[in-house]
Amino acid sequence: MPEISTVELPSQSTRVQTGGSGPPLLFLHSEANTSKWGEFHDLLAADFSVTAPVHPGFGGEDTPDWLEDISDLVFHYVDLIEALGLDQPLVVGSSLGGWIAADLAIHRSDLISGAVLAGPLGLRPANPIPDIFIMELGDAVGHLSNTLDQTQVNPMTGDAELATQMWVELATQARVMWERGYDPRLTRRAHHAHCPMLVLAGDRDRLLPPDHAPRFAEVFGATFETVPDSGHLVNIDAPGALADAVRRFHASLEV
Amino acid sequence: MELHAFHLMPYPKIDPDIREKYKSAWVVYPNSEYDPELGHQLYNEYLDQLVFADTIGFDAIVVNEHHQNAYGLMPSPNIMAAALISRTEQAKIAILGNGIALRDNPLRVAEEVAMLDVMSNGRIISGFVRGIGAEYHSMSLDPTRSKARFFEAHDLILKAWTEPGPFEWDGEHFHFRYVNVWPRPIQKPHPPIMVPSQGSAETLRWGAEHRYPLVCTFVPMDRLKQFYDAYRQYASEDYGYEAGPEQFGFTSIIYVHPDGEEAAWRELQPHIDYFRERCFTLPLPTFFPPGYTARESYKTRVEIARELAASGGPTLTAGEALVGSPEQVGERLERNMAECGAGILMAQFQVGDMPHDKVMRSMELFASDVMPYLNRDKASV
Repeated sequence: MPEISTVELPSQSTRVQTGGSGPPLLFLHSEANTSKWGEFHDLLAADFSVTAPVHPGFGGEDTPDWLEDISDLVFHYVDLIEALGLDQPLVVGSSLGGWIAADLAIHRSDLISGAVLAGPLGLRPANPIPDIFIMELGDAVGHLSNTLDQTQVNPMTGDAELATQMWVELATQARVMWERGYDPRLTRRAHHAHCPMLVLAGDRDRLLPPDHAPRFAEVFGATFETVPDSGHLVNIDAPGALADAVRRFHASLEV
Repeated sequence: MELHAFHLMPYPKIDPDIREKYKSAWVVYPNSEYDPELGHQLYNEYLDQLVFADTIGFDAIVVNEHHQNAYGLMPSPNIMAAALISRTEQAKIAILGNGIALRDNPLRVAEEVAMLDVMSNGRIISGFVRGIGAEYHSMSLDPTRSKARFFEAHDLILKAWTEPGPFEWDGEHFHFRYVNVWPRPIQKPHPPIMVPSQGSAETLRWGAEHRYPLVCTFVPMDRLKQFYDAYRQYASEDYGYEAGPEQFGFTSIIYVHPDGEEAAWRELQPHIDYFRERCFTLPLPTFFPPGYTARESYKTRVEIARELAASGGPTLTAGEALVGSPEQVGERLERNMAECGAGILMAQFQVGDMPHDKVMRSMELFASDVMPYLNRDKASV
């Protein structure tokens, strides 16, 4: 079980889950009520000292007023790394967390040893992608994962608290990506990411098309791997495969 | 009592299978379903109905703003107001409202409403709305910023109307080096403002603070009374005044038939069904996108959605249905107003796909056999 603590940061106090031992690893979570410590965290904790913060405006919190765009989250995590004294952590991020990790690498690759991005958002898609903001919550869950329960978050028939929590998480995400679901500057800034990177995507991703994550990897000069039998949220659908990929990637850094 | 004639200008040929085929009459219902030839006829008929309301002595005629939908065909209410100014004499023209949070440039609203006010010699009532959640999908505007944008746009427009320009506006959401709106409104200090609301506590308090009349659309009587009571309480406890009936209004569908209730319902029901089942095809995530309201308000909306799903659609009248003979409609109208203490009735005669001749017959009967007997001098009933 993780330890749960609160860290005071300039942006706001932030809940942090920690567990395991080994080299430092910072995990930036995905959307749809997936901020809590789970199977994927446990797998990582076998080999790493895992720090898993809850994004501001996620996991039951209200959307913070100070959050205006993705860079606010990036500098929030710069503050967190410094406040906790994390020494060159490997950063792993899924979906929205992958976008934050990629931008963290662009702005402050000096602080981290590398980045593993699973189904990262943030890159301009070649064609329009499904709009999770207009979907019924369960349908949005279905677009994100092929294992998560879609009925639980139905506000009419499911668990009203969980539905409301996901709705607020989407509201927080709206701050970052409602008006534009990506950052057009990511491509022209990618060369500032001076650290090794690995990009992964599920082969059953229903949110992003198959050519998207490979293109993301190409833009960042990163390695790309496909994860079989996984939807968009690889940390949820294929935690074992993703944890293996993280371990292999970390081993390659030490060579 | 003030009588306002309210119109949505709906599209009357919505696909009967809209729920299965398109899931929504808003945002994604394809505009290939819109026939501009029919649209031309509709605008003329709908405007004729509002002009008729002026000739029979309504205090105001009401237009409103909705985008990318078949429920209401007035994306620009100011264009409708302009068309009505030259065709009407007495009635105020209530724009309910301009969706001021939806504009990148709220000064455009300040300019247009000032133009309308000057053109009409002061007949404009200026409603301000956030716009329903669907508009935020239609305009790719972040719904989580909607309330803050609404309040700031309001402050900006009011200042532009009441303080000498040029001045600089440096807000959180809007920045203008030069605010100097020409023309200025003719009404002093500015056109009266009304606030349509779905009852969020923040909006009720804000309305009470500014003494803006509160107007509710399609809200059942028990909730209507809750909203009004909350507003009255804010007014007396926080802002030191008693809110009178002139500060409360609500919409009600009206259908008058010489043969009484049964005949009236027989003629009206298909149009009510059309309105509920087609115009109001509005999925919850479209109506209430993430962050459009606070967490607690969302929970309330979910409860309301559950109630609506159980009852078959939105409430079309608060209190007793204003459907029946002239006597029935007149008596119930006064009872409804008295029950909630409202002074403004927003009468909606055209419903869903109701054709022009039916609307006009009902309006004519209302004019000849209901209006003369209503006690319209008193602010209260």
